[in-house]
Amino acid sequence: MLFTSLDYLLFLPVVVTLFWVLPLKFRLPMLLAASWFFYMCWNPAFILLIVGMTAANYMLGNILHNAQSHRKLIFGIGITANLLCLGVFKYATLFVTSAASVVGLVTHQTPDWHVNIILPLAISFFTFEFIHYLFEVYRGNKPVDNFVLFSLFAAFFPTQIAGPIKRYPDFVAQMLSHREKHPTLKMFDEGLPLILIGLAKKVLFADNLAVLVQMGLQEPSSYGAPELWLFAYAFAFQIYFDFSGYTDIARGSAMLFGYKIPINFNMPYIASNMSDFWHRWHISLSTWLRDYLFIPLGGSRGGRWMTNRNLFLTMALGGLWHGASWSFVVWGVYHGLALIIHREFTFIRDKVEWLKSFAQTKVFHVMSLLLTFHVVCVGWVFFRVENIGTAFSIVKRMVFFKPIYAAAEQGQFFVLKENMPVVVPVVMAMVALLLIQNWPVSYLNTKQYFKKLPAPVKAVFCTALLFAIITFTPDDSKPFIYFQF
Amino acid sequence: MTNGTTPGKLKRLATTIAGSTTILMIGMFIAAEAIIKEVKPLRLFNHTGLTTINQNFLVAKLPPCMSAHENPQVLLLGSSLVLVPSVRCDDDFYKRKTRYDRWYYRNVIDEYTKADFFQNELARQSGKQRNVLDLAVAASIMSDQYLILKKYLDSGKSPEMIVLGIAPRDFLDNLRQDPEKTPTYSILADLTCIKDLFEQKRSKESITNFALGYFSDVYKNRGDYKTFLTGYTARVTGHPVDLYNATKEMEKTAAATASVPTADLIAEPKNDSGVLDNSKPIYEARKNNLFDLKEYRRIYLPVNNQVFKTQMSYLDKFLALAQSHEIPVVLVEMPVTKENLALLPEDIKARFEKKVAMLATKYDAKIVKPLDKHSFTTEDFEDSVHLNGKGGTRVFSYVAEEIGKDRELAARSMKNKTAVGSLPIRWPFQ
Repeated sequence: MLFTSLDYLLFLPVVVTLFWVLPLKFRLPMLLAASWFFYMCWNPAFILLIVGMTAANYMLGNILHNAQSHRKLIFGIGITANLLCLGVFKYATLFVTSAASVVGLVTHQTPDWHVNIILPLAISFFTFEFIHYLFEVYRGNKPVDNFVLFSLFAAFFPTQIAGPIKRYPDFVAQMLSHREKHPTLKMFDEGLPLILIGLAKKVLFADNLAVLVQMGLQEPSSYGAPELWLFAYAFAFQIYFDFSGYTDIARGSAMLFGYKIPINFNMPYIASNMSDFWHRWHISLSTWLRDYLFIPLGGSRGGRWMTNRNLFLTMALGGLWHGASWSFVVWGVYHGLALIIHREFTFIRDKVEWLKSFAQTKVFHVMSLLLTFHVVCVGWVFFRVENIGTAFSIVKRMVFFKPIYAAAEQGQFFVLKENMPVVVPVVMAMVALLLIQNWPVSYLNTKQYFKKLPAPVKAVFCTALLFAIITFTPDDSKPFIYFQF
Repeated sequence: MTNGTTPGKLKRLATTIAGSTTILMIGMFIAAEAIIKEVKPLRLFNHTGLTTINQNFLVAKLPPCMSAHENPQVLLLGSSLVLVPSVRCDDDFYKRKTRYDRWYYRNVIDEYTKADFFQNELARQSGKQRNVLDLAVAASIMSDQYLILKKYLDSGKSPEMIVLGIAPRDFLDNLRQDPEKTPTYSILADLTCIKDLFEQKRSKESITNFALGYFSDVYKNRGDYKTFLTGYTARVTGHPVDLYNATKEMEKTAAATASVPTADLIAEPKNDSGVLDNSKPIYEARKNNLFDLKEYRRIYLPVNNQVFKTQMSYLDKFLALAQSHEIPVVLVEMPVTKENLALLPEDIKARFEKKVAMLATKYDAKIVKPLDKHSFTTEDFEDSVHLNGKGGTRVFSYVAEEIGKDRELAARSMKNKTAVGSLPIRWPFQ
């Protein structure tokens, strides 16, 4: 059930109404039943997986908490079991085909090995939530003593499919606090605009940009550097609007139940360096990677080179988390290297006096902002293009810029213009706008300008948005990109 | 005491409403919907030539005809293959100057509901005066004809006879494969009576769309708004509005480079701001170079057997529906140029002929084939499929003649009692 589907338009109000109408003791069970129903809409059989993993982790958490000895062993078993589940369902195909390729390289005859396993929806997200749970219980935090509440933690439908990755202490505290609460208009006043903004990001921007990106990928070899950069920009904004749109709908939907999900994006394309980018992009994942991978690996405690190693490994594994494809690993490695380069640059910068003072200037800030954005865009090529060879050839053509590329003589820009009538000028305008928005949007965001607007002004904005969504929603909206992870 | 607390309560209520984005938004949405329903804002932009009021100018004539009180005796149905020659014939009949520019197509031909020449011929050949209503719709396909007839009959009207012009393109249009995505469907499906929802097996999406369209006028006509806004953006940015137009523009550019005449049959004189200009009428038809053959290749090929089968099933339904209302049907196989026909694989032509003959026999419909009597050359056409005034005159005269001399048909059509007035199609609970 897509957030952008008419099914969800019916499902959400029904569940919200039931939640607030039912007596307190039935609210959480009803929400859990609705969340499991939501999951079963994709494939009913896989409800067994999520319920099974929930029950196992619930028991492990309690055993771990009560254990006087062998805590490390129990913790290890729990983490291994979760990773095994993820590995079997998500990475078995990749491992088997890769092994076949390696055997093929040695024996000069590639064996026809393949496995046919369906990737369960949202497994990457709820597995990470379970791992976080076991980590926290192992570190001494109190486990959840209510199975319904724990099941809801993993299955809560607004965040079920593509996060944000939740933290259980916060979730449990908020979910229990509604016992004293009745629905308030404030919940709806905050939740509904967020849902509308999320829908607008998805159907007005992401879905339209997807057409342009798809066109670029059909025959990338026939395009020159300017077009390829345009496609990369388009994908950068497509994935941003798609994923942040999803998150906004998730946050807005959760608010209708009185639960506030922390933000997952904070204007990532105005980041001034790669480290800053990861503080703004998919925040729930980057903080998870920091807390449960980077720090356990040693974090920054082992000196400069060990820190770089940990950074590299964290990002490479973070890349692999995104999908069972080597191109995601390359994307992760690329970001790991970019973070290391940035880190090394800061050491040099701090030692060279003129560089240190130049780094304080606005010119440097704008330059670093543009550089970061373009480095991220190059990374998106590896993320989007499944074939690594093709991705490298696209990047090569983008980086070694040839303004008069052979195909350009045949008027590629003309083809683009003809085929993408409205999108191209819109994309160009958007790229320009988003790049120059740094100061005003940062300012408005810091001041929480939208929140401070009078209700009638917000209502006019939301009504206009609603009409725009109604008018421009395509008949066949595409699934959210992060659903595949 | 009540007097003391009521203003206080009202004040609190007003404060709550004024302070709530949700309540205000719902209120504004309902108010905006009511205003839009009343004002129909797209009409204000009619002068731009971009508006597609009531979904699409191609089908704008249908709703008024459905709810009109007139009840003509003969219903003329078909695609532009019927519509264009009926206008040309009437222009000749009344000695009007016919035109060959886009403005005329859009404002006269597409909205034309008469067939006076044919009506006159019918009266002359059969000795009986019958009014003819021309509900032929440009770019329509067979499923559209079924829907038009169904809605027309549902509206309470009952013609004495139906004349349906058909050609292979009505069953094989690759550009319009989905019966639920045509302009005719868009406009007429919204006129659904609730019994339609139960009578036909409809998808969940279709039912939801219907329900949302019922509550929101903007949702119902979102196609209109989208078309207008994208059309306007395309005009401002100088880009074609969609892939279809983009391809046509590229073909035009290529043709201009190669110094060959433009592929467009219909000229589009525009003023400086790009709006179709009625002050530059074109009265002279271009030489018929059959430039639309390229488009027809896209329409026909590759032949989609599933589409053919589906559309044939609608001819079956069409004839069954007419039979259930005891209305005789005359199927006119509209002539097209031999060059156009040559695009079709032989087996498809044979299947088309065979299936039409079989269905006509099954439902006792009369088939009229003007090609049996006349031979048509490119001189009788405006392009590869649309008859001009000369060709149209020969076809309509022949059809009237065939109807006139068929006594059984005349007797059957007399049986059908004419209903008086009409029932506007409305949601039954309204």
